[in-house]
Amino acid sequence: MKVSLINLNLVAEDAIGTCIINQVHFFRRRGDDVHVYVLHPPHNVPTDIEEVTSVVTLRELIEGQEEHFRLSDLYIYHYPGRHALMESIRGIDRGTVIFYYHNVTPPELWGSDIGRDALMRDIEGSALVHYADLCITPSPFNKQDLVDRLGYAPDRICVLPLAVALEQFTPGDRDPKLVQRYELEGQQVLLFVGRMAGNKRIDILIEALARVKSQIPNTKLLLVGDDRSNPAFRPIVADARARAAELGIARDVIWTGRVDELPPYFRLADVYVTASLHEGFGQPLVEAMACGVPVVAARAGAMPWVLGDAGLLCEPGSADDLAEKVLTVLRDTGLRQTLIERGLERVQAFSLERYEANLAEIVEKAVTHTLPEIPPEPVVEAGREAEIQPAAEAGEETQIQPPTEAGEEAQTQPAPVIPRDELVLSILSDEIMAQSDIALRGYVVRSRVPLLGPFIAWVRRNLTSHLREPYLDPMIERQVALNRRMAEWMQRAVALWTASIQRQAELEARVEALEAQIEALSH
Amino acid sequence: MVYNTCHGLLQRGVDASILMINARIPGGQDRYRDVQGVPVHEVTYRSHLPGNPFLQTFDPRIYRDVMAEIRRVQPDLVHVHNVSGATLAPFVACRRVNVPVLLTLHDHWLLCPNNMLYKGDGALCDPAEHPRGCSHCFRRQDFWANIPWRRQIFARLVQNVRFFISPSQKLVDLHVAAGYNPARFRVVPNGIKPALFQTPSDSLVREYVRESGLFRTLLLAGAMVESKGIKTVIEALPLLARYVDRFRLLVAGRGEDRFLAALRRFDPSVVKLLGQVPFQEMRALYAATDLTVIPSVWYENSPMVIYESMLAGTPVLGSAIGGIPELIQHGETGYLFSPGDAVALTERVIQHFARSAPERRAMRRRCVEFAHTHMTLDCYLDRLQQVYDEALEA
Repeated sequence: MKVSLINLNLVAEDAIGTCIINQVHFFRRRGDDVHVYVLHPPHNVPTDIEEVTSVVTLRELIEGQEEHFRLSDLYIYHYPGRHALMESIRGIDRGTVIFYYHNVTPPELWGSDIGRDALMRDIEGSALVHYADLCITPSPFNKQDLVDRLGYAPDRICVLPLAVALEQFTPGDRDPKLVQRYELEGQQVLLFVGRMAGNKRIDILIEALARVKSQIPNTKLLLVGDDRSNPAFRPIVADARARAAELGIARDVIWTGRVDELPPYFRLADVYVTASLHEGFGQPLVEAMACGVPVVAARAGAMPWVLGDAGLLCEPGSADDLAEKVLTVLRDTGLRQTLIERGLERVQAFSLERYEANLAEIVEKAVTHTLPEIPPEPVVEAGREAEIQPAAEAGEETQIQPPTEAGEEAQTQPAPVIPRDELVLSILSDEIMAQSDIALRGYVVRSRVPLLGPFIAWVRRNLTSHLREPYLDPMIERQVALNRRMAEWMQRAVALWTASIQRQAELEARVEALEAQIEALSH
Repeated sequence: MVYNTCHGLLQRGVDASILMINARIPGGQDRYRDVQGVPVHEVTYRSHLPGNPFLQTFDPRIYRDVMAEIRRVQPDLVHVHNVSGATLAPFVACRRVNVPVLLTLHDHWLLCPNNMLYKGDGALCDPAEHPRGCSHCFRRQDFWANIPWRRQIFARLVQNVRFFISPSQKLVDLHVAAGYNPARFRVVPNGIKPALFQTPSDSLVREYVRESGLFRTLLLAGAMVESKGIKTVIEALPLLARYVDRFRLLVAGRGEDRFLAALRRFDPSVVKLLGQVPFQEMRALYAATDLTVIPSVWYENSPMVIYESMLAGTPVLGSAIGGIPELIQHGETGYLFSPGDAVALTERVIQHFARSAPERRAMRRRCVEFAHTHMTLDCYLDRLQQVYDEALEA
């Protein structure tokens, strides 16, 4: 079957990009023909994925210029926010459409006026889910969000947790280079991974660090993640830095910015902390658990579900509670070990294998029917093609075809005004057509004689049947067919004749014009 | 259909075999074959039935051969399909040896000598109107076994049929109107195998399939004859071309020259004549179109076009006649219009394309679901076996 994946962009490092790449591999292994449509050129993706990725505009999609898209059996629309290609979801009238909902941060938690409008638009745009047959979302929290906010039917939403590359995220020793770079020797490390957006509440982490440090002085907070790509992050980061300086812990808060490889950073950590107030899934939580790092997270968004019993939850927005939980984990080695073990067990639910098995089940259920695969036509030489086509279209008919020249001309020229004679002729030929049926189709054999009437009618009908069936009826039908064909021939002849008259008139006019020109030149 | 039924029954552990007996095809064969595990006994006669209506009603040769087959196979139950080529002799033979017999009704032959209850002038025949037999319609289609007091005689000859299996309720109603006892009927819709697509061999057909989605395509499939209501589509074509954007009509099938000629007169970019398309390749074409149209004007029984189309996920636009309304839920898996009404047909097409894309998609989905729950061979066999059990108990 043909599968189309649609998204705004394709960036190998981000969660949605990883998800799309996983899906491409998944469908390829199933033997499906998969293609990715994006609005922005792909960034940093493997060549085999880049080969099946097209950068398209909305217009190209909805006008059917992309044959693969037009003939797809399954469409998966990833929703990272509202973008132009998303609109093509409205026009898909066959196949199965899946809306892949990776939550949108609520504007009220964004923490900055910059970009809040875009978030509002993204939130509104998620109503496009109603155009889909099915929605896939990574957590029950998102599912509830769709049900509450948009009234989407819960039975049409599938919860499919994101896959985490468990082979990359494994427990291990601290990387000495990183320890040296960030001066973490002999330090307890609290780690946070994520972009520095308002909903992540970095300020609470800094407050909590101050409280933890009052009990365990050699503690540092490592903040890994994008802090500059979006202008909305700047005031948040600036405020957080100012607050850290105010508390006298500015040296203990380390901002790494965006990093290429995450697993070594997780391995540096003693506790993974997050005070985020809104998470659609919380991929770093799973990655932390996979790296054998105990997690303390706010009881918000999808995080309680992702953690299960493999982490500690604190009150959202409370630095005191967070600090208390972190201290518990750092001091109680027994609890710490249990959390690590439970975490390693829990992450098996987020393995790529599990993801693919679940996705296969969903796809199996969702795709009820597929279009047949039609292999591309072999290239035929221009001459031969012309030979084949009329034969196939005309069937076994052996009628006089008007010369192809006239036909082509008639197509290229605008419809000419029909002259009166021709109109009369066409009416006449219609009448000939109507009169060409000479069989008495409405004729009924009847007898009005009482009682015996049906019998007499039956005898009458059958007396002549030995003549009528084998001789008369076929003769009449043959004659009818001939008449019809003759009428059609006449119509065609008339058409040819009028065309030739027109052509003659044209040629005469041209000859006249040429003569006039010659005369003018000779004078 | 018979082969699929037999094959399915054999797979379910029922011992079944086929006797193909036909006096309409000249042949003179008597051979036993094994068609992919299904035993078939094929009998045809050297000279086909003469124009004698009495022999067309009861052919002693067939009586003799059916009798011999029954003695050979010793069946518990005989199931007779389309019977007009075999006359009514098999029922007499079954009565003679007292074997329960079932008859699947594929047309109206018990009521009408031309099978169709369709008069030459295009009017429909009411079986209740002429209780004694044939109405006086002109011998347009071939008549078969047109004897006096035909219905009474036929009813007597099939009186030992335990159950008439009818694919549609409408056929039951027509037979009941002609005097048959409604308790003797069982409605069992046909079933088809949800097999895979076969890639079309014709390059033009392949091109049309690949162009799916670029046009708003209507598919007309079947024989191009008057009773199929081709005239309605021809009348509606100018309207459709005028009011439906990017409209295209695909016509698959052969038939009377006059209809093909009339279709050929339209703009060739709008009307595409494909000629005969092999049966297995049709499903690709069904899947690639937006609507399949069945404009029949006679009492259709249970047209396979609807089954095929729905299985491929294409809603059907059918005339509300015969068994068609039983297979289409208006607005859900297709649309109905009154037979012969070209304007209504156009309206339905416009209505369909005016619906939103997700609604049309949902219709396609419902079609497939309906086909898979009601129209597969398995559903058919389940119900058929129920009827068999009932017949054996009775």
